[in-house]
Amino acid sequence: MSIDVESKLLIVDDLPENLLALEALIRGPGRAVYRATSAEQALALLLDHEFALAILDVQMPGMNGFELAELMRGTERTRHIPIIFVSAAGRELNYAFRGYESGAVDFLHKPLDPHAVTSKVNVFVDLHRHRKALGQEMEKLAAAHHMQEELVEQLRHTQRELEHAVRMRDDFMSMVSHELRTPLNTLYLETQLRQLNLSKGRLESFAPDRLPALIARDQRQIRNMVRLIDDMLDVTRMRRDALSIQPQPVDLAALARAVVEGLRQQAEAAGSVIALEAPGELRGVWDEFRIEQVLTNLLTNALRYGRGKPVEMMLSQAAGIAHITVRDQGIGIAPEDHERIFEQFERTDDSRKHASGLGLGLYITRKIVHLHNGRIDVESTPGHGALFKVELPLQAEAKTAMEAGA
Amino acid sequence: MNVLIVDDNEAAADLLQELLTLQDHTARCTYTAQQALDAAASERFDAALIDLTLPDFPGTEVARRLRAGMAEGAPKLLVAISGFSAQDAAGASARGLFDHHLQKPIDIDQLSAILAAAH
Repeated sequence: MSIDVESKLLIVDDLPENLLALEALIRGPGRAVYRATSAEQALALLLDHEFALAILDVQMPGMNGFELAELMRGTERTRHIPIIFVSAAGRELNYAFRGYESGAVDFLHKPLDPHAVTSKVNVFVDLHRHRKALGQEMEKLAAAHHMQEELVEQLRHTQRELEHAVRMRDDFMSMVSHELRTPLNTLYLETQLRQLNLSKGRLESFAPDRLPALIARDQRQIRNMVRLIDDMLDVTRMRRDALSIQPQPVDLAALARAVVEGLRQQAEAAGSVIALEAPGELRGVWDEFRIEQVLTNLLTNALRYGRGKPVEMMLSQAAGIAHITVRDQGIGIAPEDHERIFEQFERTDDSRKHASGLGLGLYITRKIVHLHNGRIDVESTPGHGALFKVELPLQAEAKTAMEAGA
Repeated sequence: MNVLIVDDNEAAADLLQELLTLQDHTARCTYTAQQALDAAASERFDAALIDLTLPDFPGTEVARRLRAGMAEGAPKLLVAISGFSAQDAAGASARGLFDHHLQKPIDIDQLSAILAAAH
């Protein structure tokens, strides 16, 4: 047990020469001696300091030593301070001091025997130091215990997080599998139907005029599956903050024209058309593949939820920023869902009724836009279509999702 | 057999109908739970193939209502079709309610065997 505790000693006597003599006897390393020439002065000191011991002269003008001691015993703060009374032998023994039960009390008699004084004081000072040291050890123990509890709580928290992550992964796998099985089912039914037709010799179902429609149906299912797998991998990369962009000079206008052309058939199937309004060229530095994903996701959503009405995409440039807007006239999005649709696996009830999917498209889209230091917003009222607005700084820097804080 | 099909994936429902027709069954396609219940109320079916995830209400609810109406000639054979397996959480509520559970992609031979056994 380390004992680096300072012990404060209070001595009270109306005669300064007595105080000086007493202090000379009891001072020492690790001790601070406080002198008071009256009970009132002593009370003031008692308010400011925590004493290991008080040595009180009994015979004092005004409040005497016993009265001071009783006041000390009556206050919680000073109740347990050991007291040594200094008395003229035999003179005040008939005074009934009450308060022995609260703390140690001892007597010294005048004339003072230096050896008796020092040994008594030593006993009380040692007692005080040991009690203080013990208290410090207890505090340390309590602190260690507290730290341990915090650590255990942290571990529990981490455990809960891990369990949650594992559950999320399982749910994710289950959902991906479910979503993949839908287009797979259609494809598989197609092949079984063809097999049956073939085995029954019903070759008219393979007539040249019917083949393009068959192939288009197959391609749609295959595209769905490829998109699901790509989304799934992108999300996995984003979770690890490993999705990166590699910016290169790109003509956004040309890219948009190519994307719109690529979606022409899909638009026809949805009974819709995509109108593109763009300058001849709009040059910037972006990750072409990722920006193509953004355009495709926004247009595919517009076709899926656009109720077959025309879809518009507009490109423009102002103040070093490229602006992309995609507008549909479809089912729209309720205001309370405007933020949620950008989270992973979030789909509005309306969107579920209109198309299947994992609910990852807009999550991925926003991540990509953020990686390009851009922003994406939506304006929409239910029943009146949706307007998605993307702003991309013309110059993007190569970075990963972690650096983008996205 | 006369089979009622309900699946919101219209292409899949139409293909199933075509396949069943080729196997000398008759089949009717519906794409929502409500359409399926309306069809069952107006026509007699021997079996119903019910997708568990439907846009208006769950396939389990369709099955429950069909079972409740069994006395009035509702289909006796109920087959669940789902992207989830019968063991998965999403398929759990279907247990006990359906006679069979087929996970997508659907194997037509397996389906035929189920229909033949019930005949």
